[in-house]
Amino acid sequence: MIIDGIVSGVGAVLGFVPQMLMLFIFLAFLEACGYMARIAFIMDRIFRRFGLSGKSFIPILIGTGCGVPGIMASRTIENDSNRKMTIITTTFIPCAAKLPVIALIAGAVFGGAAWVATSAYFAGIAAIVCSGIILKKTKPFAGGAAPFLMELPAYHWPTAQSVIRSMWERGWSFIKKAGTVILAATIFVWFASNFGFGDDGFGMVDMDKSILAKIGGFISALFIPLGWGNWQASVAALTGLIAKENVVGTLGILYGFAEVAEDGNEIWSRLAAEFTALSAYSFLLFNLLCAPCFAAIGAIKREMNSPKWFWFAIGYQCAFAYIVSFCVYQLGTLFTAGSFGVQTAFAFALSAGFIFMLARKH
Amino acid sequence: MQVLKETRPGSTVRVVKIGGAGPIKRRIMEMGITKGVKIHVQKVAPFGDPMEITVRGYELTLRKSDAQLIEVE
Repeated sequence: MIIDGIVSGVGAVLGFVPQMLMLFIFLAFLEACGYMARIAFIMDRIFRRFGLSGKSFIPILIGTGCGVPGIMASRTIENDSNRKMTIITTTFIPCAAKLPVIALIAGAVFGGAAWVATSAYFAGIAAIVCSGIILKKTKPFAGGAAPFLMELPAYHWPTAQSVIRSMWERGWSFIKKAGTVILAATIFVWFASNFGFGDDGFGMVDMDKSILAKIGGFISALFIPLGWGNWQASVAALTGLIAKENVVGTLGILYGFAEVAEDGNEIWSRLAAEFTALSAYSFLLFNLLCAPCFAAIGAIKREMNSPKWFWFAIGYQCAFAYIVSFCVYQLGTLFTAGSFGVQTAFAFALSAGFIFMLARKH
Repeated sequence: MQVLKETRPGSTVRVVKIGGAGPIKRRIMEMGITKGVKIHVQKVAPFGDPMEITVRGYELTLRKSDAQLIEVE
């Protein structure tokens, strides 16, 4: 248990620490030399149009590396509704941990087509813009624009000490989280994927008889309308909550490989058999847009500092991901196969509702 | 009466009156823009909205909607 469960689980997350420390060094440098405030200055005009502030660009930029420091960076936004909206939308942008998932789907089903990864980033940006426009018009986010008065610090050469300290503070809070929330979650998943009710009572069993497989089988019904209702994909989406790159590893284990490369090329043929192009793309979209990994969820909880807003953020992200994947899969099926059913009609209704929410007057 | 919003980049003006109310007015005054102080308009952002000014020896950025409230001469 210690080796398989804890070391591989927490290790996978801690493996990100060196990269994150590098990222934090450069971000601390950009902040300390006074450039970040200039980015906010330039981007404000664009971001204000969809209910964010110029300062929202910084969390989103950091979010391409990792959502956790991205969400933490939203702290600099004074206006309450701008900040909440930034926290909700930051993790829509694909972070570094989502790249293996994109690589897996692009490689296995789309023959490595370049547009898959590109479209993932554009889908993330579109999700931020659409969410901003929709949320801006809802009641809790209404209210007048707050003043955007901000000092632009003079450019200067930062001291090494302040850069290192800022890097270490952020890095350490991430390591602490890996030791608590993520540790507990990995132990649970390891236990649930290795134990279950086998032929001779409760005990260690193969993964396809485990508790996790039962849970996966149970929730997979939810994902049938999205085109990927097999239990392996559902379990992969679940374990993706621990860390998004887990999706690749989980699919590898569930398809019978002990270890897979980062882009999972051992299981490409199995995936290509299980998924159609549409269901694979819907799977990708759902995993990119739904609630982020536990580390980022923890960061959302801390920054929101209110259970109500925390659950709203998670619920909104999952509902948004579900609706987008559902519409893409159902409408895609209509155009490629020409089949029209109740679900297709429902997808049309949802799309119409979505466009209405986007276009309605404030 | 001229407002700060219409002031051309590169010119220096003096604050006559600060309009607005409540938190917005307070925030403007907190940042050092008070009656009689000199403001040098540095530039306007590439997309045309927030503007950059020098006030009391430091650089400050504010949106044109806020600059509208500041009367200058």
